Amino acid sequence: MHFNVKGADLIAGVNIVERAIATNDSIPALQGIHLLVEQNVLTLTANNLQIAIKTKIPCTTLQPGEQIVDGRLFSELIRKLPYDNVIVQTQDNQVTVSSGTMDFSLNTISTDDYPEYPSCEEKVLALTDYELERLIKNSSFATSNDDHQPIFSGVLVEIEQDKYQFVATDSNRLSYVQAQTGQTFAEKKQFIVPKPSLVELGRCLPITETLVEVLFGDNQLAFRFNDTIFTTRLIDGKFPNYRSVLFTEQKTAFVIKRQQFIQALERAHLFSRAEKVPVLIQLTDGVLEIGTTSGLGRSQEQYSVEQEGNDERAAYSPKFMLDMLKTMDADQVEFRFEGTRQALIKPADSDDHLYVLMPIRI
Amino acid sequence: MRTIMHVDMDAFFAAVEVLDHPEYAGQPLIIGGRKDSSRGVVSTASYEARKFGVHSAMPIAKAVVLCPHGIFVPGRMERYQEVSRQVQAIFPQFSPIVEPLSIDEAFLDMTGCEHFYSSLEHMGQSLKRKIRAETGLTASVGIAPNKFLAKLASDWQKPDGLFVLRPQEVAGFLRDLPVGKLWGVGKKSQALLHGLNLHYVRDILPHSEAWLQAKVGSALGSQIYHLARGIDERPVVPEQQAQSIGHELTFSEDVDSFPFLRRQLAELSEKVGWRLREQDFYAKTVSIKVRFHDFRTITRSHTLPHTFNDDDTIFQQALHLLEGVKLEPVRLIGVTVSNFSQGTQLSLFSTLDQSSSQVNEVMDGINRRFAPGTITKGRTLPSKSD
Repeated sequence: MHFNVKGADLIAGVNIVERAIATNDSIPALQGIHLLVEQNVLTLTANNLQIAIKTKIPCTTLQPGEQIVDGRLFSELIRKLPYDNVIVQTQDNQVTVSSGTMDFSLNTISTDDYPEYPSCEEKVLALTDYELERLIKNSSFATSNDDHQPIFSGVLVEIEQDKYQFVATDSNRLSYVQAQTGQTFAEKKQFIVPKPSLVELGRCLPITETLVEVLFGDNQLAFRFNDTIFTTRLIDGKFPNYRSVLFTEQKTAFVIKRQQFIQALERAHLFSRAEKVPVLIQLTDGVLEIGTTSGLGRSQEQYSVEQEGNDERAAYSPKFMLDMLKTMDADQVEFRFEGTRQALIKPADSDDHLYVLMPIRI
Repeated sequence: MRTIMHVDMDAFFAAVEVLDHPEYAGQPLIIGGRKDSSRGVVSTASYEARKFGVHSAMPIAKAVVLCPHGIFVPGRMERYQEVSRQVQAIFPQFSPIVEPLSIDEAFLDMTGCEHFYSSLEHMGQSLKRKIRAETGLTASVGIAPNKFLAKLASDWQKPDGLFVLRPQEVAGFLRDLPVGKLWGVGKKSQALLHGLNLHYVRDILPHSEAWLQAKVGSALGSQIYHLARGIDERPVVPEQQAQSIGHELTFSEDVDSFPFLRRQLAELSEKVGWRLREQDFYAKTVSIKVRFHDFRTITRSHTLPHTFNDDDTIFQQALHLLEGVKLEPVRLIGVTVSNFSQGTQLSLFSTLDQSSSQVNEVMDGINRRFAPGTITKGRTLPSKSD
């Protein structure tokens, strides 16, 4: 293996694949970056068995070949090189990285144990990186951290006709977000993707209005964009029927400026956070009261709002409300609630992002 | 200027006994032990018994001599605590700042709440009336600008007293008090002050703070200098929120029957659950404590991912923990819940917790109306087989 590569290209490639380097795995190869040199193409791969990422960058090939080097070391080393021209070659069972007058010899890891890259062949709907990022951002925050329910630690990725629907819940609140793709897919498909995979995917996306192809395979889902393919293992299991909790009728509603609502809840949260006391949302004759009482004291705020339906009051976790409000894209939000039923928070002018949360019984 | 209210239940334990045994009314009643108790000490004497010279901390044997016709009963601490909780549940309706001093005493900082009442007397009456209505007991109330004076005031017209000490009356009120009434002056300090020819508060007033400090020590000297002038800046400190609620039971002989222990666990769980709900808390953690015949004591606990306040969850978790313990003869068993929060986050997908909490609600209603333990789950009762 022997190639010349531009330092900037190499760093860009490593930036993408290093998200799939295993931390402290018993199999050393999983902590490595796999380098494959073919005709003027360098393919970088990392695979921690949860996530696998492969990306291609241009290079000048002097001799094809493959090697695995320690991922962290390689990644940090190439960032610290002062010159833009880097030569990488195999010498005496080591990989030598040369730049200017510098030579570094990296011990290699055997390629024998390297897992095969998971294959995903079945194409489903494609979408832009913008849309994909929005779907990830508006859903993934609502997953559960409780290990006992693996289903809830993932995000449901659902394909139905022409749209993607991402749903996440920790069983106390649920976030639903959808995006139209302009294409149609005949079958309804459901995948449960581990939250960390989606978060890492979001960080890899170029956000340049690039089209992302989505493919599935055996218990795997892959996202292909530019010269990169990002593949994640799926969570096995059945996601609960979210439609039954999402689409319900709450009789009382108000509309409020999102920023105003966020700030009010943040002030209430100052009082409630230490003892995790709920915040009371009370709507009476067009007056919205947001307040809380804790050992630290009491907060109370009033707003004049558009009211729909009867007077109503219920208590909620301020953190749960803020989680949603901070990720949503809208100036005005609609808050629908009724007694001990789940409340619905959504942008006032759109149904693309819906969030339901259960009240706290006090 | 602050407004501090001190509430002191009148002969509390005795009053509770009279409440539960109306035939004791008007009788000299002595709580602490039966007449033949050789080691007992009087914990409370009714006002009728006090006329015979019986007072708390006196050996029962001596009380028997002083008051041979008295009614002697052993204390029922659990019952007193229960009534105490009823009383304490009233205080937050009057002020958010409540400092419970003991089972039958508390300070309430009423500063800023004065305008809710036509007068300070009316404020005190309202509280006394409320306690009377909800528990059937009388309390003595003192209202004054600080804790020291409020406590003196509540003592002034006991029992069933109400005394308001206004700032302009303080100096006159204190003048003729014996120095022993000053907060912090016990038997020893009192003797020390008497030795300096200081018998009444008025005797202290001519002396400088430095002089007093030189004579009785800097802390006490400064304290009595200020108290003699009616100055006491101590704030009313609300009680720290309870960190855990638990009940335990010591057996008269060591027990190794699992069905018996299971039954005790069920009963303890109900008691714990009841208190948890009375305080409007939800818990996340259940612990059990087991003391074996050889005094080896172990605790086991489990934290759930969700909050709960129902007896069933407490019992199931406690039982599960007990099942994990290698059983040897047991002399004590206890159940504790901790990790509290207010309210419980409802779940989108489960309706399971609903029915259990409804059962608890109904049972609590009955138990609140009659007495705790009036209605209980079958699992706390002995089965035919044992």
